[in-house]
Amino acid sequence: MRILALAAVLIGLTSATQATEWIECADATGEARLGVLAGGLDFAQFSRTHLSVGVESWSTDPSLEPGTPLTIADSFFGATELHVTLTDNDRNAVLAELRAFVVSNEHGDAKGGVLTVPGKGVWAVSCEGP
Amino acid sequence: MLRLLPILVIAFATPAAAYTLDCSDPAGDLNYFEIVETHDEATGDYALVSARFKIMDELGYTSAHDPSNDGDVSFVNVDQDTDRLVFDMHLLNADKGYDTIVASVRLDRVYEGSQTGIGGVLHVPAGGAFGVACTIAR
Repeated sequence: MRILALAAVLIGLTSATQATEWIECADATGEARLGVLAGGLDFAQFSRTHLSVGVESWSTDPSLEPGTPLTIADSFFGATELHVTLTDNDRNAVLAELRAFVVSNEHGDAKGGVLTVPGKGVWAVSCEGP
Repeated sequence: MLRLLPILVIAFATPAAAYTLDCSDPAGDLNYFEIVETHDEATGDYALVSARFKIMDELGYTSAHDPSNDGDVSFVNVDQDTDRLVFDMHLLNADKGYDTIVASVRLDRVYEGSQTGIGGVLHVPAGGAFGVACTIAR
């Protein structure tokens, strides 16, 4: 019986870690947009991302989301803050930085902050997703 | 040196500039959310002057004694610098037993060339959580 219970728990954990959802952050006009595919426990691991500014776009996986290749150099998603730093694939230059706050209560949750794309601009953004 | 004196006098006499941050949420649930602060460019210091918000025509507070507040609202836990603007709004009414945080404001700000990005969240424990974007209205 204990073995069955343990198996059920392990299956549940496996399912939880396999769930992924996009966190999409955009400014009010839609000019700048950053998405990260979040998975793992508490959605704290980011496996893919796409970035767009106007007609330009970047992506960690251009076969799925068209764009110039880039890399997730650093990320953090906790109970109160969401940080993402994107660089070129050689990690020589920062292409974008997202710094956002996270809050949640029984009425819902919210994420909002600032997306900076050096040389292109800075935008206040709100985010949707887990 | 005497030639520089008028410039120095003007520089020290210039008060910190006050401006309003006009914030809104994408869903439009906020009727208004405004923050007034000052920034002294000589010292780099920021100071909160006032803040007010209202949600869905119902719940709102202003950072002063106001009949609509049902008590006195003051700023607590203020963390204000070039990179962020963080504070809570505290409601106190001893007669009615109100002694609580009615709103938490968490804003990041980034200066990139001539652009300024100010965005974050407004958390109202009794009303909800909102992602907000702010613009500077002087």
